[in-house]
Amino acid sequence: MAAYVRAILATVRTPRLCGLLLTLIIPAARTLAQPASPQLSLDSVNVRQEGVVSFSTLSVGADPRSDFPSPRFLLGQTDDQSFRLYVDVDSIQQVRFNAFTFTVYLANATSAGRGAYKFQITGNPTGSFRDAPVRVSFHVKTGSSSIAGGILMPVYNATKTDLLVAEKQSEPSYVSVSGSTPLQMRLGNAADTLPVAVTQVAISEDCPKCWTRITSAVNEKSPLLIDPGMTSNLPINLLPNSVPALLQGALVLKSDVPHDSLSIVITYHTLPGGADKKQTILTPVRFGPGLFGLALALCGGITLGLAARYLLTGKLGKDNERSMHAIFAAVVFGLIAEFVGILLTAYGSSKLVLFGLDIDPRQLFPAFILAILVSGGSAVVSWTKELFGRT
Amino acid sequence: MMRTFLRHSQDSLIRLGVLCVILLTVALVSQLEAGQERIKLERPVMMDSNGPGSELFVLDASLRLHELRLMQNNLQQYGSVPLPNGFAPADMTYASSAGQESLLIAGTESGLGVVVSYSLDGRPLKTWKFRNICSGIDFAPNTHSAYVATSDSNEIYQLDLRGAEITYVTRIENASKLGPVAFDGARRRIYVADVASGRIYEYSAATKTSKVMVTGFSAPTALAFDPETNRLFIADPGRRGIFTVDTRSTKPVAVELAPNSLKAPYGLALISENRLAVADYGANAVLVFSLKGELLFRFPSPD
Repeated sequence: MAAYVRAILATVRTPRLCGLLLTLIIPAARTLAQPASPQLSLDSVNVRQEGVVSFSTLSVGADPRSDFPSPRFLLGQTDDQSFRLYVDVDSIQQVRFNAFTFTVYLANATSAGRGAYKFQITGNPTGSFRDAPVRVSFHVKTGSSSIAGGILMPVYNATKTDLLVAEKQSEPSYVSVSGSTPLQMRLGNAADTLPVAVTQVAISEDCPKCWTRITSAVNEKSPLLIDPGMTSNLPINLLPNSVPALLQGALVLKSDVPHDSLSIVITYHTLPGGADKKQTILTPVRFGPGLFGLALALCGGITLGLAARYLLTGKLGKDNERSMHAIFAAVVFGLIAEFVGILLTAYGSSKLVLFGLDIDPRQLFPAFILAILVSGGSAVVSWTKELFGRT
Repeated sequence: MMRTFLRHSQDSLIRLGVLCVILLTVALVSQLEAGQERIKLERPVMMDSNGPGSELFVLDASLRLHELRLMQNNLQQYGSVPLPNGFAPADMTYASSAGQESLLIAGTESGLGVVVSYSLDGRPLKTWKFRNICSGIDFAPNTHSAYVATSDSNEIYQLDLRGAEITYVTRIENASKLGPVAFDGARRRIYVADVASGRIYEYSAATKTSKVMVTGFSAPTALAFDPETNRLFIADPGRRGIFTVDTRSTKPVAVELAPNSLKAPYGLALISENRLAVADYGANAVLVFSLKGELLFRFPSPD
């Protein structure tokens, strides 16, 4: 036995076997010397006293990635700058049960370019806060030491709905039936939140036959971006179906009563990575005949007014007034009355009241009546009053 | 002469018949296609099937409930109905009790938990109200009941589908946020996922004890239990995959099924012929896999 051991020791002393042992020992020693994977934890964060987000961390393991370009990766670091934390913005996704997940990479600052440790984070919000950028504290634990750090990153809450504020309309929007009318809807995003991208606009109407086409240039490929604390105009193009639209509004004379109501459903999400949300905005509209239609109504009204005056008094104008002068005066005063009426009702707070009815001079029928009364003069007005007085 | 005339007439009739069949088929196909366009899936969120059977019920992000029917190697849309506004669904299960087929949808309404039973054509049949937020639900056929998990109190309740009774079952200690539920009728086990901590808990109704069965998930958002193989299927959109666990194993381990084929698997359901349907929210499609993880087909088809 002793001879056997002596023979082995003699063999060990040979240079070939020493070399073999060295090749076995060196990689093993390197492996043993390699530091253990750092542990990462993210602290719960209070979002403006309106809610809390807690985080759970799942270690995925070492990752060869060493390049973390901005803006895809958000950067944070430990207080002693020994570790850098990168949030992969492209990985953010909203999941069911009001949670969101994202991938982070933890890289050792001293061994930059040698890969990183990958973690999958799940954020669990509670409360009623809006999606917002917040500073999240994190801890990196290596061996017995724990190093604190911080990162500014977005947090989300699916329960908070209606992130956008639509400017309230004081009166129905005017839509001309003689062509397409652009409608600008003002949408605001609250300050200290995340930017919002409107990606889809769907519109439904109470009177479908009144419309030929309602479109918006905003879609997923060309979204409308609204920065925090800012407002933007959502463009909508309205093309009414002339005759049904005019008929729809023909009997609704009061200027504050809408002819139709549009339900504008906008789909949007916060950037980056927010969940799709839908918000419905109701927009009342009033149809109007447009310039050409108004001109026709005025001409018709003036003609009828003059004809009525002639029938009632036997002449077109006052005593000794020439017919041409009377016609010209009727046209001029009819135009002035219509113009002033539109100006006062559309841009001021005045109302145009005819026979106790609050009317809108931009509408076909009121414009027609106004022109009859102006061109017909006192004879037609008296006759009408007498007629209504009798009935 | 007479025989020739009869043969000609017969030929003409056959031709006419064939033509009619072709025209009818064309009309039917165009109708079906038009129907498909009308009721498009808009990001599938959750699903369940009648069985595992050949009908698949899918709820999408626009809160439309779609009924899909399994054909040989594809799915066909049969109909869709919208759910009422104001109801925020969290999980759903197919139920068949006392001859009544229904879909039980757990969720919240005005901040409180509810479970609503809908007929297959979308009519609300019955509502159970909870004080906590309902997050997961699965049907237990042998007891004509359903198990419901709550995410804010981490409790499990049993609903009597034939009555109005809600029975407290247990509270999972140490859980953070309970989500989907799956029920193993043979062993009376309830599997429930903790969406926040990425754990799957197992509760035994026989011993009234619960334990962590498997960990290592990011956000498990759907469970399906296969009684044939005793495997539990888990959808984890955080890890962008479907995992399977042998529930009979003494040391259950999650094994990924079909790696790198999903974007955001939100929901899953076992369907007929040992297949698994997955609602991939990110891909905006329903993907059907074999239980070995082979992708069989997807709906709508990519072409």
